[in-house]
Amino acid sequence: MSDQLTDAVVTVNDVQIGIVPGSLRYSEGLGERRILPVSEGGGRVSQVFATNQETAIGRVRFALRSTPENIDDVRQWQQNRNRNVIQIQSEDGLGNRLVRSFTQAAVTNDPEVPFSPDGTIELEWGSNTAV
Amino acid sequence: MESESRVALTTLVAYASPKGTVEQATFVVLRAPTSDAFAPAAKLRQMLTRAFTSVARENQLARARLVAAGGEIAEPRAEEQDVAGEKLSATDVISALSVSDADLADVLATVRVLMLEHGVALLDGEVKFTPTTFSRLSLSDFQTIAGEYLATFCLA
Repeated sequence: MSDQLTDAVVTVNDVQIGIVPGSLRYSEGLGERRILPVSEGGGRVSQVFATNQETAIGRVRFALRSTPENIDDVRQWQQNRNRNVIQIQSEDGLGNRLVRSFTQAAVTNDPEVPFSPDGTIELEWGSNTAV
Repeated sequence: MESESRVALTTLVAYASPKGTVEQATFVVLRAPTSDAFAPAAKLRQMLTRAFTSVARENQLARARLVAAGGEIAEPRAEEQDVAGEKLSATDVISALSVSDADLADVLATVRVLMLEHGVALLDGEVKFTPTTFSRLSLSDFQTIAGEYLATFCLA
């Protein structure tokens, strides 16, 4: 039995970054799925499985504190376009590990930089399907 | 002094390439330090010079004691004399440091500073090391890289 994962080591382009606690989430990018019914007559119904390829994009979201270093990093990641690599590594208290890599990642939103004591920079990424 | 040297990795190192993919580095290119790295470069040169000087002095003392005790010292063979002036190998440098008065850990730590903060080592000749990728480097490969760097840029 595993424990709930609550934090992770996040690296962008092999540089470890510090994120706002609880802000990290991701989607594998395997795409939304549908079960489509098929009538075979005589009351029998089978199914067809379909994947929506339009949604087969990896997604990563996390937030950063508004520090000069983080602001410069965000700008550089945006300038890299879709040539970033994100890696997420996490481990529960029992030693069970999770590792995911998101290649050809790009910042897909236009992040706002807040100037306030508790402001954060919200980042949304799109990438290849997670491996 | 050579401007570049290449070291093959025995353990591949995964890294994020500038194309946005994950690649497995098979070699590291070492570059000569620039003036920005004068402090760690000078520290290494001084440590190496003192280490090799002490090793040479110990060898001389050992030869003198042997002669005083009536022993004979074999003259070096022709092929051994031709070795003088040739570049030392990475293994030779690390081995020599290991038996000298030099603090080998301090030497390796200084090489690490050059790799991480001054970009003297490039994975696959294109990407600088970060603390993350450095942690993936095997100890054996790191020592080979350090020895090659010292032999190429500090002893030349």
